[in-house]
Amino acid sequence: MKKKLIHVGESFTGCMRQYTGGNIFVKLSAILMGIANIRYGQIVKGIGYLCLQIAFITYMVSTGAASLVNLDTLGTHKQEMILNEETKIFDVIQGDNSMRMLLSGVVAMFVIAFFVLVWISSIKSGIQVFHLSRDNKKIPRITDDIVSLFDSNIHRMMLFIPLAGLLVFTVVPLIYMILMAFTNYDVNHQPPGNLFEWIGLNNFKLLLMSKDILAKTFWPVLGWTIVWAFFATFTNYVGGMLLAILINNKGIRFKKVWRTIFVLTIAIPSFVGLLVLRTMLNKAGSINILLQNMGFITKALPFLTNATWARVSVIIVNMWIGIPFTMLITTGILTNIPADLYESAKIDGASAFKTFLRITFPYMFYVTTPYLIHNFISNVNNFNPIYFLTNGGPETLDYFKGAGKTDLLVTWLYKLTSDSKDYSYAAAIGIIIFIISASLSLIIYTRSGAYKDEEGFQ
Amino acid sequence: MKKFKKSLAVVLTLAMVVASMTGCKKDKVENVDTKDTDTTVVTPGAESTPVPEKVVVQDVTLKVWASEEEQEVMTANCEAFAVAHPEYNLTFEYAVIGNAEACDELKKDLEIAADVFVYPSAAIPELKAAGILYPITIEDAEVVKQSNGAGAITACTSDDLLYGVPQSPNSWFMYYNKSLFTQDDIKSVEAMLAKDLGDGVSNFSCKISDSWFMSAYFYALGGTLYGTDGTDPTSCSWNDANGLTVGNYLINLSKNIKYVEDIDGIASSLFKEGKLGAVCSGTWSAVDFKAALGDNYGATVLPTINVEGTDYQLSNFADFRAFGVKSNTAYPIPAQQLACFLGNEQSQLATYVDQGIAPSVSSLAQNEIVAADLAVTALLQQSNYSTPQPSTPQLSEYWNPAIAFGTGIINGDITEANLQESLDAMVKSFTTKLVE
Repeated sequence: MKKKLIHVGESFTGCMRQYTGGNIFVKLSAILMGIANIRYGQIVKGIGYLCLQIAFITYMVSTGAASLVNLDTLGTHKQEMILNEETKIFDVIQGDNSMRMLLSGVVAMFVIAFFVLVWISSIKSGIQVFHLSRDNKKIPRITDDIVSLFDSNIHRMMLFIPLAGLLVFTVVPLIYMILMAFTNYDVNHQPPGNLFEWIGLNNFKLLLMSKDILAKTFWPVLGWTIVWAFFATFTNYVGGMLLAILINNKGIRFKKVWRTIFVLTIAIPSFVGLLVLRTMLNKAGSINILLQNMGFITKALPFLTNATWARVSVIIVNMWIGIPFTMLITTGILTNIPADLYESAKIDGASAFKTFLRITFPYMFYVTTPYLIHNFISNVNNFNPIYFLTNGGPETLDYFKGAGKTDLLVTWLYKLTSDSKDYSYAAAIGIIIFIISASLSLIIYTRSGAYKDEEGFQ
Repeated sequence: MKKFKKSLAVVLTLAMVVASMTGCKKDKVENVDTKDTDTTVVTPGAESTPVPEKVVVQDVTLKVWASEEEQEVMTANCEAFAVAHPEYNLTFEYAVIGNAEACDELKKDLEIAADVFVYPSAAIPELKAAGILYPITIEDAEVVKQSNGAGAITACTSDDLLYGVPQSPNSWFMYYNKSLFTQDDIKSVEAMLAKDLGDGVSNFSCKISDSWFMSAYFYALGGTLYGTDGTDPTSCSWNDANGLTVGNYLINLSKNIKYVEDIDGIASSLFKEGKLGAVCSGTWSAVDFKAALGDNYGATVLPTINVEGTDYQLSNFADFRAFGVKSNTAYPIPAQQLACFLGNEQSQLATYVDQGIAPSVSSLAQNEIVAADLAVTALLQQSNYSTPQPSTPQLSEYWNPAIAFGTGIINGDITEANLQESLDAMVKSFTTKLVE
């Protein structure tokens, strides 16, 4: 990390030295882009840079500067309706739309950032062409540059469109939504009739530290999310592994048939299965009716309506969905364990359980650690089982608005967005989820054996 | 040097072009000098806007939203409007956005939203607070006010301004199985629950864990939500002594084996199979139930509940489907006129004949075709016992805590021991806002 910073610092000072060492045209190209290129014969490139500069200035003058100011204030005029005596209808005077201002502000920031990059590149190209002419080397024409795009600089050309797409469709909306977490854009501040404004870290304070119901909801939900992720990952992993070992056992015949049967559940889209199971686990659903008819119980079991029962049900149903996947992975690894390890263990008189504990499990664990981490983090965000089986319920008065006892942070986020339109809290929760997921993954992965000791195992 | 002079000439020309273009810069539009106030009604005479001359034909394009089933009849009604207004050269654009999705779509992007749309009157507080609705103040509005019942107009009015033209009552009543219950049984919940309908048959269902239905029990004993007229966001009487009585009643009701809670539509299925005597639902279930029960299909007003010896009438929310106009419409007067036209007697009759949607216009209640429809009659009669839905934007805080309370009762988490506490928590959630 330190090395990288030093490297950046060095290249920056190197650039500055070259800039100040250049002649008048190089220095001018900081103010009038492309002038050095034109002086030394790269006319098309120079005019190109100049046009970009003019376009940028036009943008800033017409909308860019206003967008930046609006980004700061997020609108000052509310919508007004004034009764017009003559026409007997209201004249609606459109106010500022805070949402649009936030968006155009973010776009303006990206345009400025992009322009700064272009500006630096124009200065660099001016310096480069100055050096070339000073050393009496050949100065590339525009046709040479274009040809090089297909040859030595082909990486630039190929990456351009994907990068541009990523920037426009992923990064800009992402920044926009992250910024929403620092405003008070909730159900009481809906445009176009209302303005919202910057409130800094207030949302985070409310979520994490206040005595308010929001914090009383956040911490229990976070606790359940971690518990769920742990149990979901653990049960699926161990379950899948045990199943794979069972089928792999020497005594079992028709191994492929068994494996196919268990893999069949993957063919059903998980949310279809979940919705069906939800009906089945209902108080008057088929499972309860079956148990009652067989005489095992007299009253319906509250699979989905009691908080603890619902949590256990979700974990168990998730096993049905997840075990086939882990079974497939572990089967592949199992067949790779050298058989002589098992033979020597048998000769030494080890029981099946000890074999598992000393040979199978460590080997599996070492190979699948990245998978486990990935699975754990993705279970933290596992929307489908919770939302479709219990809809986050059962609902409770202890929690804020629509949050329920089996809600994960991510399902609660979804409810805040689509049901109650509290976008600012949803954005804040999203940021918190990201921080948790990213830091957990980084910490666990860098400390894990697979990272520290890639080559060796034993 | 020659090359340099040539390029310098080009650059200077470009600079000149840019300089000349700065003169074309658009002036920033000056906003009218406004104060930072709420969307207020100010009545001084502003400068007059010219009224469109009736002689000159005005080009008007109006976008209209309706649900998929209503597209045909909506088109027919809009064409009738065009015929009735030759002073406009009307072009209509239609899109399929029904009553339920209208609010969400309006909030998403008002620019591309329809000029005239159907939406539930319950959404008026939140849409008005978001500045989405255009008050309907043209002369036709007077006709609307006179032809609809008081309940409909109250539901569509806020701060003395009409925000929607009522189309149909969007509320609920009770369906019953004529072979299981007589006319006397259905008058009260107690009578229904007392009757033994045989093994495997339940008697009554009215979803406690749905905030839309649950309010009926509290309203029955005179509870007030958001003040007596529904405008006070800090007041709710549901945790007082009456509320406690209702809470206990609900706990006992949920434990009664003859009562079925309609989770995931189970009550409707049982009713259609003939295994449930009565179920509370709205006109949306009418076609289904009629097909399933045939001659045994019956619909009536809500029953009474008996608490400590006295009968109280269950009272539902008076909600209406209404035509609204969006606030940034380009043609405010034609749009308002269209809304009023779509809600008039002629359009409502056409819509009823085509789709079976109950009309809200009072005169149509006597119309023979309408009177023959049991569900519609029950609905219209129930509106005599309905309570207007609160009009304060705080209503958006009502739904979730109410569901949580109802669910708690059904699950057995809320018992007599913690009932007062739960009621207090529920009322607190109704009446508080998180941040300003």
